[in-house]
Amino acid sequence: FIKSNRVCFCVYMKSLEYSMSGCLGGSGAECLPSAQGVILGSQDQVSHRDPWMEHEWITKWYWNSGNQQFCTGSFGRCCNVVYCSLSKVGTKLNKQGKFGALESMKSASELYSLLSGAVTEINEALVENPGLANKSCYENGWLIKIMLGNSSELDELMSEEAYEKSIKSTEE
Amino acid sequence: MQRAMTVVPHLGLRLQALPLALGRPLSRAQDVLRRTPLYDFHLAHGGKMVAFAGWSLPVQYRDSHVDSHLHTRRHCSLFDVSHMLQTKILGCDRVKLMESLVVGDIAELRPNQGTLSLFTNEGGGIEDDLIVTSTSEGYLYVVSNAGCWDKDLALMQGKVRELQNMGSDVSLEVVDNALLALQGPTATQVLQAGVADDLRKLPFMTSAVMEVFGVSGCRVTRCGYTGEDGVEISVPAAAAVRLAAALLENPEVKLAGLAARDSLRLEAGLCLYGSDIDEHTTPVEGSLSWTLDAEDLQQAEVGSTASLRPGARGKRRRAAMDFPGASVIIAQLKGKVQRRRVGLTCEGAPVRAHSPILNMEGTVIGTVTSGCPSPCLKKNVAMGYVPSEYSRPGTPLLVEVRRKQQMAVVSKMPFVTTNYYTLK
Repeated sequence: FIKSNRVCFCVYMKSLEYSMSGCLGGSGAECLPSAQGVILGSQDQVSHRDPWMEHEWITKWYWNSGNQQFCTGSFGRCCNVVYCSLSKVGTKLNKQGKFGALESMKSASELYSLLSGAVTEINEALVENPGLANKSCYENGWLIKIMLGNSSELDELMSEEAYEKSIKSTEE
Repeated sequence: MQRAMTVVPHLGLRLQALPLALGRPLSRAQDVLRRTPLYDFHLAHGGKMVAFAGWSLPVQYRDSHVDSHLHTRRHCSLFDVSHMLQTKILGCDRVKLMESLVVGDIAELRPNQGTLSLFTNEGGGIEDDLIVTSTSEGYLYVVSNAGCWDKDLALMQGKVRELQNMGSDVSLEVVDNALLALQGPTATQVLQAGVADDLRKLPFMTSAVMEVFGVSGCRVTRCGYTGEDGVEISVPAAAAVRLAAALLENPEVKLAGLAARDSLRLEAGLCLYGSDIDEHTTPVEGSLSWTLDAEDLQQAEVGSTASLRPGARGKRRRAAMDFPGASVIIAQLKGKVQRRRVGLTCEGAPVRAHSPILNMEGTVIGTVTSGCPSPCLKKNVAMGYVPSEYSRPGTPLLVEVRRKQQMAVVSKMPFVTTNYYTLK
């Protein structure tokens, strides 16, 4: 099925407590060699190509509400991202901490983390080519990878269905 | 969380820099947006409608903003600009009326020649920018901004009454036509297929009435707001959709909306009234002193070989000082002006309206009034005001974006070379 282009982080979690369910060493996913790693990858990889979608621990999706209006809905395909800046690797983020910005021709949206942690990697390809956020937000347009500071924060995230519902109500 | 200015909240798109109507009360209900004759046509073509200056207009269609912008520079685009106020000033004293309100030399306009001019106030500030054309049909044809509709009409009608009361022969009519802008390198070729007149004989800033794709009584003016060659076609409202559809049949043509219109005009160094110039900026501050001079002189100054017409008086209005705010404006021309509008180019994050401009020592010296990423230059371009001593092209400055300072350099405008069709 086709999803409208949305800028997001897709969260996979690998942590010691979940590692028994399976290894994430497959295509598109990465294993961080640490106790609690948060990995960003594509929803497609997880839900359609990745055999581990059924596994319960890949359940949480969240959407940066700052980007919600930016690239979703009927403008999704048409809102060119023309500029991307991301915080440096090593930046410590609090919940709601700013980690960069995405800009279209007409508007700017700062990026707010919904999880606390430290930035372990940023997508340099996206900084070079901001259009990836439109073309391939679930794959090549990923934003950052963070080392989770507090995995219980994942419980506070919305599921994708709940998010879809919440966008629909704001679009009305 | 940073909130961008919302133009139409329920569409979920926040547009930070799209200008809204000036904050004066409208004479009609604020929540009812006016519609152009092409409203349904826009929807049928996938137009995303937003509120602009009291009108419902398309901000873009199915193509992205960048694609639409680039298409205009490489092919041509069709814009619905029917929201703008079109008026006719009639009577023997029409030039006298116009010159009592604007800085420009209207008397020296040749038949069917037009010019950009400015309504000014007693303080020398700009009330609106507009195009005035001296038609061979015996009237002045005036196009001014939608955001100043009520103000401009009151201004012109007030002056008409005043002159009539003194026995002058002058009157005003609002032209209830649609206005379509066809802009881009292939615009003329597209239009030529639908008109009998040889468009090679219609240079930049001239106008003629002609039948266009079977619609009679259209006024075609070789002008626009993109920096490209192109025309604005004033067409009877009842035939507007038919004409737009006919133009769109040519595969060169795509519809374009307000988003592309704004980035195109910025690259062309053209002001947006209400953002780059307003009632508190004088023509000198706005780097628009040239509007005081005769069109022929302007053309001579920009390197056209068309020489000043014998008897034309070039700088008559400066000498006569017979326009509102003349004492302030001429004083600034002769002496010093505190600040000037300049172009800026910068790397890094896009620079937008209200960003502070700083000198290299870090002192705030001015403000950005418009800005966006330039699809053609792949750099950020902007306009803003700085003190005169910083206004020379090449001057390095800083602009603050999200609390960080970025390098910027004062640049000549237009940022992108214009392609106006002038007779050489």
